[in-house]
Amino acid sequence: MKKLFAYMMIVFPVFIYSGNESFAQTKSGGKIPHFSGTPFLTLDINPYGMYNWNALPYNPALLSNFIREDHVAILPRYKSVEGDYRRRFDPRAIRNYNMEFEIVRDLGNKGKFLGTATFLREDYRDVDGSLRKDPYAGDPFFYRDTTLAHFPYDGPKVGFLYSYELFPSVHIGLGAGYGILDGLKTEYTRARTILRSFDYTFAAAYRPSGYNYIGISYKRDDARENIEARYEQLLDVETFTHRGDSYHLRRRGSSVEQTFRSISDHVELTGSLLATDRMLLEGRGIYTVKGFQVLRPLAMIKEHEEGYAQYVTYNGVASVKYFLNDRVSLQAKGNYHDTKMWARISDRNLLLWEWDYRTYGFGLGITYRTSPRVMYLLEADVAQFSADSVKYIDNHTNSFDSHGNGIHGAVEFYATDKLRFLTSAGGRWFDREPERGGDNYFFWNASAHATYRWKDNLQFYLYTKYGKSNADLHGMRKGLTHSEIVLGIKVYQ
Amino acid sequence: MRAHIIILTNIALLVTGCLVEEKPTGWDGEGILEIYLVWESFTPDGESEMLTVSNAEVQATSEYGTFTSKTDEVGRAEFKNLPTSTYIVSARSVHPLDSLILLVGSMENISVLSGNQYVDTLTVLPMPQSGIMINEIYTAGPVNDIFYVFDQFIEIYNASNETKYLDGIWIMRLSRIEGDIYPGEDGYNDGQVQGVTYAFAFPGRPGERNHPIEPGQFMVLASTAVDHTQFVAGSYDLSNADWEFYNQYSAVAIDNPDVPNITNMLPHRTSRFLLALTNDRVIMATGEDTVWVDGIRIDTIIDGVEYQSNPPPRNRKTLDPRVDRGYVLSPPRYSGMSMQRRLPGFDTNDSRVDFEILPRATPGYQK
Repeated sequence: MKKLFAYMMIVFPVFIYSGNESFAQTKSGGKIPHFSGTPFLTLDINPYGMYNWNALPYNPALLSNFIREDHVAILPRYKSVEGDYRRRFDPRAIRNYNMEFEIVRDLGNKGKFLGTATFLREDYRDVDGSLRKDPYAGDPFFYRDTTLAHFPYDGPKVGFLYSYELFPSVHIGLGAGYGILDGLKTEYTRARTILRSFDYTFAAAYRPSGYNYIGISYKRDDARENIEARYEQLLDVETFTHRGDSYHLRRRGSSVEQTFRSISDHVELTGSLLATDRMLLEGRGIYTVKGFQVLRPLAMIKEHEEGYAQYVTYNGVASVKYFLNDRVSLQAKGNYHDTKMWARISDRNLLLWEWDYRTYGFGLGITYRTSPRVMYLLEADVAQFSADSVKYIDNHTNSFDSHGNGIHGAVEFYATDKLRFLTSAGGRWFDREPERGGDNYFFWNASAHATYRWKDNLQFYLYTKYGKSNADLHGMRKGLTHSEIVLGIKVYQ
Repeated sequence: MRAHIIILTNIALLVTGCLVEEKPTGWDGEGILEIYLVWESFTPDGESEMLTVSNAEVQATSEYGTFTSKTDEVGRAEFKNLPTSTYIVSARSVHPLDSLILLVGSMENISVLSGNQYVDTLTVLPMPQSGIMINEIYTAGPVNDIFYVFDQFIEIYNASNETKYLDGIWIMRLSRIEGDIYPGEDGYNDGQVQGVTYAFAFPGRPGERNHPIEPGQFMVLASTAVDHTQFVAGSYDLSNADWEFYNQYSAVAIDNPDVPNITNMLPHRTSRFLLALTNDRVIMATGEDTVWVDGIRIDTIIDGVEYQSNPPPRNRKTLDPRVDRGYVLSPPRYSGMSMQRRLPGFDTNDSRVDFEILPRATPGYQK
């Protein structure tokens, strides 16, 4: 095991290096796809138990770490974000109404299985012109029409993870997911969007015990967003495909179609080592390459690539947990993220935009158990963000640095053996918000979570979360309200 | 075990490496276009001299839209940070000695490459006073969902200083494809444009002087001269049009008796005069060439305009360049919008430059 861990430490820097070498000419940075933090260092308070298909890839060969009891779960969820702290093409509000199902099965010698099915309803309110679901994904290809309207999406998403112990302590894993969302703009140009996503994962892991393992996985995501603007009335539709901020191509007709496709490859290396009886070391590295295409149909089955963007991302997380005694545990955690993007006009093979976004953070946490029924958590972290951007076509360069801090506290309380409460609150602030922009960003949230297990095989959930973020933007203080509520039931078997 | 992991790692890296593409070495948005504007003047001795034109409006148009600049005191207009594309440059200015005369000029197929500078000289000419011309074309139809397009009209204008006469003049629509010959093309290289679909004529014969149009006068030629607003709100009242296209071979043609008729010259055409909403060609000819079957002689064409819904190369320009060197980018179908010359009589023989889109049509007057 120690030899394998040492090997991981050798391999990981090697492929980070090889990735960097490919992009030695990279100059820049800029539009921020996301930012990272280090919340919830010590106590996992994710109440859903659901596998998050949108999160970073998970190694299905390590499903044994995830599966504890066979169950079927039904989780209706409502989530909303709304307010005036938004960018030009952001919706005023996003309201999600999801119905999620999960099944977990320990198949004994035949492996372990986790399956999910979700029906999503995502209501984008007051979208100003944007026809893409996520116009701020970091590429320079906006796609819009001219009207403000609602854009509801709905559709199913299904997926599974499966692991099998091939040899003693050697596991292999498979995963796949498929989702389709259908969106229809409520006003002219009445654009219809079909978002199709498909992913699959192959994985392997060596896992002598729950704390000692090393795993590797490969995941491919293939997502396609097809947008067809076709007005039911007789009026022609008119759409604009932006190339950067200043220039766009205008298209008009009784029907105008544009497709955006992305294919991502992820390689994940993860490991955990119980170094001593009291010390646990964990590490995870993910290397991602994403190719993004802007396509236009030329004939029934032929598509022409108008634009292309490439993202290369490195993610790394490492942590040390130290169990001081039965009451106190400490954790230190560090993370690093770097995404480099460049985009081109494919016909002319000319660069449009390049950016490089980096963030790293460090956090410390402590848990203190005052009694078998009560545990407190306190954690704090610091993060540094920086980005460089060159928008060639707009003749615009930008550099960005920001510093952020976060603090978070939680209390876990078992009222009885079957009734558990967990409340948490936290705050985070940045000099400048790296994703939406704005100075003096502040975000706070509070959550409450209760579970009640009834007659050994039934568990009820209630989870609610509320938060606000605000920042100084365009000379005004602007804010967003985040709220979420989950009601659920889990049936254990 | 270690071998397994090495193999898996290498396979995974190999697969992700397949997605990595090479980054381009050049970048867009660095093109420079520099145009020097001159016009030819004559001294009192009759000698020619080239003078710079300052404070003139210069437009560079490509698939990315239109960019505007003004010439400085040495007649130089500069466009910086242009994306790579093929541009059309047009310029116009008021004549320095006579404010009633416009100096106009245009250049085509200017290839501006990012990182390069394109420098050229454009000679502008006093705009010819060519007489009668098509000033406005309204074909899109009003905002409606019942396919109502019958309020179409063509507006003509006398840009000359003298009274002109409409007797015997033909108004034609060219939209018929004949084999490999597209409408408006001189497919047989005989100086004639092909593809006549409709031909309507003013009363009388060429050379007669019964139907005058005064200098500076607009005239509305209505497809159907009725008040269309009583059928579709947002359409146009053409009951006071100056002329009406009337198909005497149609059993159901509507005729406003108060409006004189322009009548059909093709007996086999029994439908009313209508133009395609977003893609078509209209020509106005003297009426001297009445043998339309072999085409219409270009030297008899007084004016012609082509309009298309999308810029080239997505839409094909077909009308012979001797009639119209470009085409108007037409407004959307059923939008109530119209195509009108930027100024009455503004004619560079390139409708890309000459016309603009109006949110509402202006029958009988200039916006």
